[in-house]
Amino acid sequence: MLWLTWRQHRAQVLITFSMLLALGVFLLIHGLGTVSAGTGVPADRLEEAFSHRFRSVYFFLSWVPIVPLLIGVFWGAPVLARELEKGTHKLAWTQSVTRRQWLVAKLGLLGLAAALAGLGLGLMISAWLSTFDGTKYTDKFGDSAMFGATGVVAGAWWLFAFMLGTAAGGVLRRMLPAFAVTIAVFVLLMIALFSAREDYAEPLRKVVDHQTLAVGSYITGSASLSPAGVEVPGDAPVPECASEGRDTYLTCVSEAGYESVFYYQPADRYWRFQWTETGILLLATVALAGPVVYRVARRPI
Amino acid sequence: MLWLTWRQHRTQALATAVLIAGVWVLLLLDSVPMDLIKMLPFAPVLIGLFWGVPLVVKEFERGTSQLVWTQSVRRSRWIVGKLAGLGVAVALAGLALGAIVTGWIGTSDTPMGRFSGELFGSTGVAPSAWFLAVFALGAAAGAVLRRMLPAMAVTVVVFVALVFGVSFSREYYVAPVVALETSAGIDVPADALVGDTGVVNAAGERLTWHDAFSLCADANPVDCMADRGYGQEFVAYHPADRYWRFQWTEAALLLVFAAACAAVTAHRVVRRPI
Repeated sequence: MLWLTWRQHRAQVLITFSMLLALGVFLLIHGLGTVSAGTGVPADRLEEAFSHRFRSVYFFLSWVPIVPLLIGVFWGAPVLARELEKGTHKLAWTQSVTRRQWLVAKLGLLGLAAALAGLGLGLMISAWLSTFDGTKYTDKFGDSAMFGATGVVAGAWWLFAFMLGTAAGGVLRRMLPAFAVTIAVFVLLMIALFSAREDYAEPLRKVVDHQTLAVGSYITGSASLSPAGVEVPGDAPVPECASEGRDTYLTCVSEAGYESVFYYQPADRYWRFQWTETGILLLATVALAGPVVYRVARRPI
Repeated sequence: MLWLTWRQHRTQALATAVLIAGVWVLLLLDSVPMDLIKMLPFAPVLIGLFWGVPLVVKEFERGTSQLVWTQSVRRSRWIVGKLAGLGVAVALAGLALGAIVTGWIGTSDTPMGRFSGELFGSTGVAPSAWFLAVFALGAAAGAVLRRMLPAMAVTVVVFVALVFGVSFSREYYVAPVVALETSAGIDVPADALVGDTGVVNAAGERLTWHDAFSLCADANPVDCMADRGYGQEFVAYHPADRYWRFQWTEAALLLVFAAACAAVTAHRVVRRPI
């Protein structure tokens, strides 16, 4: 089975791992460049010095959370849909290897490879981000793209996408519809989790006079606190200053005695949030494995 | 041919119509998360994957090419009919999406205008040209590679490269207007497409921040450039009334690409032994 799995899926596996390798080498070189560019720069100037270096690469890396979709389409969907579409499942499932063994080997090996690839990519991006230590650019918690691209969540997204593609292929039995459903479900779930993320835990509240919070915390909301203790939501104008122009609004707010309130998730909750999202994704993966097992091992061929 | 094309591709046509209607409803409700808006420039890849690639590949993979290319309708007419019929449908879908997104920008309070980097490719006639380009790209990849998965992979890779390439080169379609820093700051009109920013010296030589940063890697770039005589900042921009000129430039570039891909597709279909 190891040989069969490798033989049938080596193109996808080789392309994926060589792309990861290329990205890893690029990030390594870029990261080493960042470290040497940062030596000798005073700490308060680091952010300025790194601004361009960071932005030019971040522009591309901010798309990494969508990459698992390609795993769903190119790794997951063909596992069952290609066999069912070409009728080769009749050959594959009537050999001395039982259907159950066939399925366990395929899902186990490919799922493991997908999860490891995702974790590896997450580690590479975390390492690259850590070269910007001491600036706001290291943030991988408040930045939703970097949260999904680092830590254990990266591996969980890759594994989930793989299982989603496999299940879609098993249920729909044809490649094109399986692709379409995989893309649609993945995008919807991604949007849902991106907007649900801030509610994984009750946010903390902090009143500040200047708009500063520790780097790495995830700001989920803001408000203005009047001297009487009334909170005005951050997106609504303060009543005393509603008629002020854009230039004078902020001075008016501070003259009226308002303070800023932030709702935020502190930076040390990063791993808690990572495991929460990983748990959600693994549950979804297990739920999707149900129809796959039924399709392969239970139904008559 | 018209009937055959409709009969073979009606699923894609209906799914696309439903999807565009869905986008319309979401935008009307004004409840679209920013993450989704940010993904709009990548939406055309779906046209390439589900309209373009299967066009020829499905016939090859199932062997039905042997049936369909030996009918009274010649192969050249078959491929022209398919490309033209589906091309018109795809172009209309793109125009619909462009009109929907343009209409949404007019009614919502989004900070991004139609001439911003995020939305330019999803407004006006640009989506139509993008749809056609990626449709022809998918068809060509399928006709050359003859297998579904490799053709899809190539379509995705080339398309992503094209999106990044075009969005980086957009600001260079024509020479920009340059606004110089005065005591009142830099005056860039609203709704302009902002391109390079940087510093300028007394002789009028411009240096982008990108170059400035690499010249003074360790120092504060503002002070460092002032020491070198570049004391004034500039912003290069394209005023809002260039929007349609840019739209047609981008459309023309993409249509040339689409025509080249369509020619490759037709050549492969007509010339290859069955």
